[in-house]
Amino acid sequence: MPNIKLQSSDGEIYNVDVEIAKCSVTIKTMLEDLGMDEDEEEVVPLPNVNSAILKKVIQWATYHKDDPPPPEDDENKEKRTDDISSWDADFLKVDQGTLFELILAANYLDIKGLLDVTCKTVANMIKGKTPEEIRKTFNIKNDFSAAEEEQVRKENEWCEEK
Amino acid sequence: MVDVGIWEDDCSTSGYSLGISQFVSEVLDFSSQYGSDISISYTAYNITGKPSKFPDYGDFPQAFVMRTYGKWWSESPSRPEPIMMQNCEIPSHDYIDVSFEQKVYPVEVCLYETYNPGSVVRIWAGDGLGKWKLLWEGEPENVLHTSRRFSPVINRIDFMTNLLRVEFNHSQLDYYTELDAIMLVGSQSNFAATPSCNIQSDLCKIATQIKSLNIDFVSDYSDMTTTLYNLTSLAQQYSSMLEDINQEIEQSSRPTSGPFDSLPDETVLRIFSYLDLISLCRCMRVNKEFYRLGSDAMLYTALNLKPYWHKVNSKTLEHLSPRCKYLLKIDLSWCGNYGLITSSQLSSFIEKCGKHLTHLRLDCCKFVDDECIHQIAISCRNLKELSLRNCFKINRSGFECLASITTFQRLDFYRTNIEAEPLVKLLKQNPKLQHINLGSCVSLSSMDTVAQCLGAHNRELISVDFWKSYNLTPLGVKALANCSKLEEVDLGWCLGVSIPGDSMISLANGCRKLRKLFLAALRGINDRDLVPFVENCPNLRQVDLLGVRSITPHLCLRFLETMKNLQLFDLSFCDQIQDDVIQEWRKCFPAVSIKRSSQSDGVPSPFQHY
Repeated sequence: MPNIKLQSSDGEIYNVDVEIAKCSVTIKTMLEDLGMDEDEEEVVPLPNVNSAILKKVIQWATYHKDDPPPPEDDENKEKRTDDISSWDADFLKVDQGTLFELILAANYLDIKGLLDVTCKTVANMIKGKTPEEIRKTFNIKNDFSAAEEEQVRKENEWCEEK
Repeated sequence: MVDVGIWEDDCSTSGYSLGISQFVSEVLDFSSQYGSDISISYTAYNITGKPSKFPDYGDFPQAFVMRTYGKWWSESPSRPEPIMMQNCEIPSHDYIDVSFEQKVYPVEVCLYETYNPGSVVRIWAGDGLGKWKLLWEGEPENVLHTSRRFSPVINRIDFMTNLLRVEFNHSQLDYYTELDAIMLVGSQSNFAATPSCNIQSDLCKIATQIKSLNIDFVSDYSDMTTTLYNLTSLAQQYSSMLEDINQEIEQSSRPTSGPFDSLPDETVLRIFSYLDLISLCRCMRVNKEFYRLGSDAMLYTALNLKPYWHKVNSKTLEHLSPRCKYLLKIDLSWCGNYGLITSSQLSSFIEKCGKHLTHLRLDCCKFVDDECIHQIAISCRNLKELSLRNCFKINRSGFECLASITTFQRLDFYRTNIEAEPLVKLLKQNPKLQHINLGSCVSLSSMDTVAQCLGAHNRELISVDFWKSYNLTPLGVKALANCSKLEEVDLGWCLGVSIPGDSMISLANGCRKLRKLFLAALRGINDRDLVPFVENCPNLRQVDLLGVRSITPHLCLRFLETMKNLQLFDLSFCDQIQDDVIQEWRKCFPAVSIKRSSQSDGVPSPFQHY
């Protein structure tokens, strides 16, 4: 299998199997558009991904290299969040900063599978929590004025515990 | 129905209290029943009064039975597509609302399950004005095939009630579940002491202790209470001040939405799209940014409010409507009863948000009347699915105006008052129709006319449910055979087809794609009528021949041997087939779930359902 070289924002270079790298639509398009020859010793720069995150992404893509292509987004798309595989769940047992960086990387590299599973993981961190618990979990500041807060509470009163 | 007795109360310090145990006096509402409205066998009404069969275990017509069990219905061609999979509650398929003579604070609820227990998932107490409190909730179970008194530990509530709702999830059941009775035990005084009382009594104790120390400066415990109160509130003020200061300091150094600030809107919306509706609405209360993104109309294209029937009222609709600009699908089933939503409030919601609707489910919404249907007909010009199960309030004029919609693919009118004439008009306007449920529609005076119309105008039909359409005759069945795309036919209890003539042969010849064939209780059907299905319909997966008395073991064996896809085969009350033969077949054909109902008066039957 031919390899290509991916360069992280902090200059680290990773040798990756082309087929694995191509799970990123961004990289795949780059290779096709630039007509990059797979044998060439050229380096693909990824200025938006640091080495720690790129390493994780490659680890994820390697494990999932034989997955069937993800289904296209359509109106019936799967919205369950209890279907995260145990490998992915373990893989995503990382600190919050890393999790959000992985989302950004998956977004930038256009890796649908990784974006789905990371977004689902964050959704699961929100599910079932009160607004205050959500703020605490993600260190979010409540910037509503008292009057606004009351208005927003009223609009969503129906979902409060009674 | 009221038994007054003495029972021990574990909370009461007085030791013994007067308790009341009572059985159901009235059935107020339910979502489905196996029996028909003109009979008493297997109907919801049977749950009233004391247990009549318990502790006997088995299939008894004197019990309450619902229409579904197991996963078969969710695997049939007529299964509706799920709306809003991100909701995470234990789903429920059916409910029954029952009332008792006297209002009490519930202490115990006991369900007498006399056949295939395990499907109860929630018990609610209502005040009759729309307030509901959860008494108990649990996963559906597959439990031993024996009758049981199911009496889970229940939550205490702060109001008196004589109204209970029980919710069922049938997914784990091997066969129909049957309920004999429900007992409500309660007291007329509330022992679940409110927390303030506890604080009060604790303070009393402290004050007494302080008094006994003979300290002069607090002589009265009420002064002590005031002092404590003042101190507490001062402390609270101080800590909240500290919190504010801390937050101010933090705020200057970090953005407001934490790690979400780094994500593009589109990605935050993707995360939000995985949230159940409750969590999504709670997110909107987090901060301004979450409010802006959480109210994005793209998050409100498919809403399932059914799991929240106990919370949803007219205000809910009012507040959701500004977010529902692009609403495509909404399930409002079970919502709005007991005065929580009125017909005009729903109409106004439909007027505002119905423009793009493709799927509208209003099962068991008792307030839905002709006015609502008129509004639906005006606003929802793209409707593909309309489900109105158990909506009794809709009359002729309502159903008549539906014919102005021409986009229907699925219609569910189970237990409504729809009449043949408006229905025929509607069917003619909707050539794309794929699924129709007309089960237990007692006002359909001529089912043959309806079936003839389907056969002539609705050739795209995939499933048809005529359950308990007593006036359907072989003529109608033969007309239905023109719908060559049919995959599912339920003619259960269509007693007019009991002597089918050559209509079954026509059906088997015309509808070769059949996957599900239910012919329950069609007693006159014999081997000759069913052989054509063996020969022509290789896709059959689910076959219900309950009570088809004269079929022989020879024919059943042909089904089992020829139908490679067969999964469900109901042979209850097929008198020619002995129990030991069934046992043998179960061993030989393990891929087929062969059903056989049992009636064991007290003695556990060796022939349980698989």
